[in-house]
Amino acid sequence: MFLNILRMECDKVFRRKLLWIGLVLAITPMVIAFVALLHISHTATALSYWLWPGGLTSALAFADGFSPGYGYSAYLLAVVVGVVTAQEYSWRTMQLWLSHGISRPMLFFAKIMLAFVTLLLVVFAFLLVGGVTSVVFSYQVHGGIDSNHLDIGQLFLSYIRTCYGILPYVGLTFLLVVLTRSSVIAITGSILFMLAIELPLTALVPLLGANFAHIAQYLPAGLAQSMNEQNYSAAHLTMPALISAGHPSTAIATICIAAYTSILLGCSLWVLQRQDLTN
Amino acid sequence: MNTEFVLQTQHLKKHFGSVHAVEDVSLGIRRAEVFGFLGPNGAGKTTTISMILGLTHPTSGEVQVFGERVTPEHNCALRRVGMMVGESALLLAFSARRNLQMLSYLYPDLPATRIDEVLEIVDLQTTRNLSVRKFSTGMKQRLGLALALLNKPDLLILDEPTNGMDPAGMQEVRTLLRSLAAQGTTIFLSSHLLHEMEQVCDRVAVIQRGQIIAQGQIADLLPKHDIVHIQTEKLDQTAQALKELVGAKQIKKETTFVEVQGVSSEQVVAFLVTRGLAPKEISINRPDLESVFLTLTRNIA
Repeated sequence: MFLNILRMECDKVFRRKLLWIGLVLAITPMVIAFVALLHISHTATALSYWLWPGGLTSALAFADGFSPGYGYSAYLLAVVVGVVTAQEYSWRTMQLWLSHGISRPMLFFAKIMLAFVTLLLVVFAFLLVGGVTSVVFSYQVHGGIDSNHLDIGQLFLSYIRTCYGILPYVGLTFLLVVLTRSSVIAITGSILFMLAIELPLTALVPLLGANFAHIAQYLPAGLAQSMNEQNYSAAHLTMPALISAGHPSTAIATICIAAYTSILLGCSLWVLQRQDLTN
Repeated sequence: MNTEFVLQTQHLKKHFGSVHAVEDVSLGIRRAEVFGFLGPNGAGKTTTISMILGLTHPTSGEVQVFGERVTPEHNCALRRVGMMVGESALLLAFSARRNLQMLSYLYPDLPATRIDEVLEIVDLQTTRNLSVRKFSTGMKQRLGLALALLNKPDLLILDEPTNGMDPAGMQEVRTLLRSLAAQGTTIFLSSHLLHEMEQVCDRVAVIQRGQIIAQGQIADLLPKHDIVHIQTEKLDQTAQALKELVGAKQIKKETTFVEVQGVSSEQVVAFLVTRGLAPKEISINRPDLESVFLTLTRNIA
């Protein structure tokens, strides 16, 4: 039954234009930034971020965020998860599925799994477009690409780390959707958290002293930065952080991201289980 | 709980804070029966249906479907149920066919032809690939009905299924419901259209302020005798004389006529002639479900 529900959820997400239009809108700024940054990069080190294979790491950084508040895929995920899930409340299809004997946890886990699959797809799209762009640039600059410098294993790990760093935002959007049953509030809430809470906190709190700076590192954006830093390190590049509050170790970040995601999704399921779905 | 019932609720209550939306609702619906659920707006119909469908947690009481308890945590019995509650639950971003396709994923044993079958039943074959956003209210209701029928349910729960449909569509739905019941499907039907309910239902329950105020076969709920209106110039004497007629009750003197219940028009005429009070005109007012419903709900209000 779970696979059947998953199939249904797949249709809801992938057969809509929303995701594909969103992907184009999210990736276009990255391509523009690649072009602009390539043209202002004059040293070999600076160029390496936009040429093959460094461009792949930069593309993942665009997905995850060069700094708090700049993770385009997190915005896109908030929009897709927010719209697709909240509309189930307003269109009352949530009631339809449940009244056909589907258990709430099963429907919830199918939705979560689909959100994770969407996350993997979105980040992959960033990686793919970033990769293609960097190949084009490499041909322009060097007349070819150096495939010896590409470590597929490390690239895969970087891809997984990037997706993993975005999970708390998926959890946050889910919680807001279930709590408010409104796509507008869920999307606005998630994006406001990234832009109006995390970004200023990460930028301003360190100014209050070392202890405060330490706390700011443990916000989801700080943890994602830690993953990002690991990606750069694996690609033998220095992370070009715009705003940096320092980052916890990858192991600590992994645990904290798991904790954030589990708590947010656990709360979402708890709320859903107790929800009355009268019109 | 009794196993003769396909759907049974016992002492079902739902309180939202100080608001008692449903207060002690006990119902029993038998196999292949068309059961009408009547009540004015805000009487507790939709809340009761939501509890039956495991969408709302009852404050107390129990729901059983096919002898199995249904709660929001345990709703397996609903696999054999088709539902359409209020405004149809549709994925507006998709076509009619895609809406049915998605629900069909939950029933992998359904034959591939079932989607076209239900589209034909509700007369949406020609618009099956059109986005549901472009559908009229009546078309959305038809699609909602198709979704309810898709899994060949043994129990069909419908709330205002003909809402927004044209008269021909309403007639088709009434015929469809009767034919489904004849094939063994149990139907729980909630509607404001009392004329429709009278035509389709075997039994009805009337809910008012969260409580069942009447329940039974429509014939049992209707008065056994017609209401007789007697037009006469001797209003006072006629009303006085009728008190002596055996069986006559609820004698009311209005401005131009006297109204009496419990006796036939022939009995009234024969009796008044013997008393020298021959009426100018006799008319019969046959009580229908609507008048019974209005009387019941006004009395409680």
